[in-house]
Amino acid sequence: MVKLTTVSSAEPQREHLAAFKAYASVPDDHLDALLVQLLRTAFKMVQEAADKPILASSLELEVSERDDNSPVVLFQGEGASVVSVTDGTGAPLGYDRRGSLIFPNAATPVVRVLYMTVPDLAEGARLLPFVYQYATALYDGADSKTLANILAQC
Amino acid sequence: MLREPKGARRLNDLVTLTLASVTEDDYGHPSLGEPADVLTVRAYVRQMSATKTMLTFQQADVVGLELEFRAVSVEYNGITWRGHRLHFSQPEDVDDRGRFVRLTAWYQVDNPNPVN
Repeated sequence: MVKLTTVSSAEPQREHLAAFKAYASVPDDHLDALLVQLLRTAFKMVQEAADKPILASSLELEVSERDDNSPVVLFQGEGASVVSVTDGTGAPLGYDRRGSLIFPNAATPVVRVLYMTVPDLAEGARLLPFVYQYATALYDGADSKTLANILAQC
Repeated sequence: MLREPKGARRLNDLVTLTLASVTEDDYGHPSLGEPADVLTVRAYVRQMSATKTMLTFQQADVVGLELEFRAVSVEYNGITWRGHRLHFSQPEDVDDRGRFVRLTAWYQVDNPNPVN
């Protein structure tokens, strides 16, 4: 089983909010708090759908019920810096790394990896329009089909 | 027939919301001051069919409009669109969430005092 937890994530910047408001034609500031919240969700969903980091974040990946010592794939892990690799008890594990793959040196049923993603600027520029589109769809109360369609394009 | 291509921007027109202050004289008679621009918003503006305009206003020299835009928090009591001062109804909450409003408006074709 694979469980991905966001430990912390960089906040959407002021420019992101301004671009979102321009995209959604929101003329004034009275709903900014809500819009930032929608933007946060949109960033998270698009990053997950595209498997590319846009905002720097710290993620924890837990892979359990492992039968063999197959490599662990870090989601959004291209260029990420690994903070720690531990087994189920929290003891550090030795590992080799190739791109976004982690090869633990010992076979353990549980592997936990804490790592920091590094935003990919080129991918970010490509994905930002989808973030705004998704956030606008959330704001407009669009149905799940519309939301899924946006994510499918990422 | 009006068509909206898929993915086209819906709020594709600009309207200016204005506010004219109300003053009351010593006898309690209210009067409106000069309207001042408050906010420019992107809106969906469509002209009503001539029949609907006629049914609504029973006038030949008015153009009926239907407008939609995102609800704003600012106070306004006037709308300017392409140089026309619009007369409009009570805003209607379209989505039941207070985020979109729809207005039925009209302006006189031979408006003697166009804004621009």
